[in-house]
Amino acid sequence: MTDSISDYIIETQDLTKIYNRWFGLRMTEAVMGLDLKIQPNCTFGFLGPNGAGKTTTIKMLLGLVRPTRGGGCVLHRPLGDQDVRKYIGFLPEEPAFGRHLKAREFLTLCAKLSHVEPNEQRQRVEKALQTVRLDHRAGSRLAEFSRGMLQRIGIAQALLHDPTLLILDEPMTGLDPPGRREIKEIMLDLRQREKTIFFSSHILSDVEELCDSVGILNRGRLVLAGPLADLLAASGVEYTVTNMPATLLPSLEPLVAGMQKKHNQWILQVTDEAHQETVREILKRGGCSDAESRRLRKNLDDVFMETIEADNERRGKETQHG
Amino acid sequence: MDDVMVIAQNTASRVLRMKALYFLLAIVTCIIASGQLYGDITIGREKEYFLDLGFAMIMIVGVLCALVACFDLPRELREKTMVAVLSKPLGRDRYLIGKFLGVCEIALISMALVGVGLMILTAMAGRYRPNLEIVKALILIYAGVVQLTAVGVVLGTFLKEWLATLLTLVIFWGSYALGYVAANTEGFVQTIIHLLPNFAIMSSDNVVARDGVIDWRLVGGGVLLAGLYSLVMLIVAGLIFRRKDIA
Amino acid sequence: MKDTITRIVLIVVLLVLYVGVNGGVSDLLISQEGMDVALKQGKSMWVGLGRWMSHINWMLLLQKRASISGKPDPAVAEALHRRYDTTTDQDPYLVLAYEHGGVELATIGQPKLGLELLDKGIGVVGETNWKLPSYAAQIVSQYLKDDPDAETKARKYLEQAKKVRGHPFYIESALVRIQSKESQDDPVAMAKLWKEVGTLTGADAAGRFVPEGKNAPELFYGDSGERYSEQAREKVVSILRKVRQDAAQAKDPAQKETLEKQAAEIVKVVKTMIGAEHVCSYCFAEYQAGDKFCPNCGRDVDVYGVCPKCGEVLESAAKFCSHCGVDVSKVGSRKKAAPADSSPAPNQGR
Repeated sequence: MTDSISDYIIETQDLTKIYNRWFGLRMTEAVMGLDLKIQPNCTFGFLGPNGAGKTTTIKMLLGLVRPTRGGGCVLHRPLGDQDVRKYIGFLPEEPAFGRHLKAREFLTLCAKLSHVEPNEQRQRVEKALQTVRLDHRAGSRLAEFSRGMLQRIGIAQALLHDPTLLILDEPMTGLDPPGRREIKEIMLDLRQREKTIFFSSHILSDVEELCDSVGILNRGRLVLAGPLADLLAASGVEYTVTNMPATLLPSLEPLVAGMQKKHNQWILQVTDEAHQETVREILKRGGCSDAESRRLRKNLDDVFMETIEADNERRGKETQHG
Repeated sequence: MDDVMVIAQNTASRVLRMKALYFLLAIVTCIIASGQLYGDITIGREKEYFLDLGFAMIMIVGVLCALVACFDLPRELREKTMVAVLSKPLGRDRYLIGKFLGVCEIALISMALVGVGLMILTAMAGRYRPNLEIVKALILIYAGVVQLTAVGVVLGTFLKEWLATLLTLVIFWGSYALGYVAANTEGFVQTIIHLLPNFAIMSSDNVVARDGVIDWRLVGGGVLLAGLYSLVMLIVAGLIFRRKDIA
Repeated sequence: MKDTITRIVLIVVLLVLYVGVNGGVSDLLISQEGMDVALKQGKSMWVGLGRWMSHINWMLLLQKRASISGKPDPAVAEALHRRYDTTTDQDPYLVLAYEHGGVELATIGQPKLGLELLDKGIGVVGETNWKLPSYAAQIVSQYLKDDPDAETKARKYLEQAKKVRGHPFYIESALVRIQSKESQDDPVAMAKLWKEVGTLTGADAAGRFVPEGKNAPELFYGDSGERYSEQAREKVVSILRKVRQDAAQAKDPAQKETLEKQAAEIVKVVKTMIGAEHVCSYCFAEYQAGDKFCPNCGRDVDVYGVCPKCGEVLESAAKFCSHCGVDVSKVGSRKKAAPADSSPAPNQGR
């Protein structure tokens, strides 16, 4: 471990998990050489297709799973440290809690396990119930709860002890649209209160809305990471042209990345910086000086799909050649 | 210690909430009560019959409760409840201690209920009075059950529930049998046998059935043994469990 | 890593402690009364439930026995034996099962199976139970007469029963009956035989118990330091009386002389069998403290147990004369005190 305390809330080096089954005869590479750096007060979206290793990574961060290789720090303490969990709120992927317990009982139990001061427990539990809007069902048993309500209870128990770091594994799944909105509001509120949130999801629109930065995991490897703004940064211009003469089309075709006709408008996307000037010239000459131009902002969906596909292709080749 | 007690309480309350448990205890008490009907066919040995039946039933109840330890850890792992609990500041060792204490609590309550039933039935029989010896024998049976629970916790940390249960029962049977063998062995072999949990103390009910007096030192020794063995087993369980991936 | 090593060291230390305590507890457990017998065999297999299962089997047995009458099919008898066998496997100390089973199997025409069961029981509780060997002897001599070794076997069983303290005197009688076939008519030989059989052996000879029950032989020391059963001495005395009577009534002087010679021989035998008690020097009948004449033959006897000063009969354990108050602690009381007993309650099995 380095002597200097890093600025990062979560920092991992070469974090790797290989599952050995049948005494090492079958190996599953769940996470390979993960280097993550997450700054304080940042909302980090951890993306990746199913089976990419998101949950395994989260469990390693929490010390539930022992890394095969590598390590890291969470809140400046090595992975698996017990005391640091006091400052972490965690929502598991499949919230399963004692089904025989009532909601309030369960949260009180969690408060005790999270070392909340005894005199504060009651108040914290009530507050958490209000936050997730389950105060009217506080006396019901968890066995009677729907998937969405369990998810809310899960969030309530993660928030209970007012942690500095929240690790949420798929917080949006199983929720109805109003539920999702509520959770988003809770997360935005936490962000304002300068909490660090690390959450995994595959609902990209939510991520786009909430995150400061994202990391994309594919087949155990981190393929893309960085601030959301950078990843979605403009890399082209979109022109909207009204009443464009059809004669211009052949000369434009090789230069644009995408063309689309809507009613009497043409939408032209130019990604290559070099072609932008040429396209503008052609349009000007063609008498379409009213063309509206705007910087092209990438969609997270596209970035995600492109990255995953490119990575799969590259890895496919690697395995072929290798 | 608060969090350990929370785990213990939660483990115990989950089982103690089951109606099936009380049904079992009621049936067991009825079986013991039926011992009163042996009467004449025992040819003057009704006390012995009655007490033997009672102690056997209490021991069965205790062993069944101890097996909860084998079931509970794999169940929590399978149902993913463990993920939520172990992400809390409570460490894995404390979690295991909590589980162990919880199962011990279940066994204590169940055995105490049937034990009180046995005492009442003994008093109702009129011919013989409930006495301190019955309590001493029950304490010793409980000491055995505690040791078995500790073994169950160790096996539960790394085996599937059925395998853990089966192996726990095999160890119970084997150690019980070897406990008797130990009396006739010496030196190294005896030491090896003495490393196993001592379940022979559970058969001190023989003394009661024969109107004997159980030495208090034996009761103390039994309790000490149970404590020491549980401690060893919990440390072993901790060593195994801390390497486990809670997937 | 350091933590792991600490824990392993802790485990080792605790285990060493455990083994020590376990050894102590195990020893203590065996020493518990009622526990020693349970430790021997069979019991362990049933994990503490053996006795209970044995009870159930025993009750089924009682039920089954009720349905059997006369001499059933051998298969039925064998099934019955098997059940007795299982029951006693589960609880080897179920003495009733051996007793009932042995006798019952013999009476329904399977003496060999009965004997097998009794042998099993003798192996477990033979040292404390005289009934099993005595039943076995009875089965051998009653149902297995055709066996050429029957007599030897019966004698062996009886000898074993004789070693158990608290056994009734008919064991000795049966032994004499078996051994006296040739010497039936010779009173001297009979007297010697009674002396031989009446010699106490085993636990009785060790003198570690207070005789109990009306059948229990009273103990006393003979001249040689050996102990003899009181009933055996009485048998010899009665032979002596018979011979003297015959001698008194004999008309033929030669026969009379032979009988008197025999009487003298028997007197020698009786004398070796007398210990601490006070008996008439002529007829060997016992007399009480303060008696001046033999209650049997009326001859003068040495008075004992009286105050040397005033002649008042003393209480058996009195230190002072109740009449004149003189210190009589040094005067012999009614009987010499038997050796003190260190372990009072005899362990009789069940």
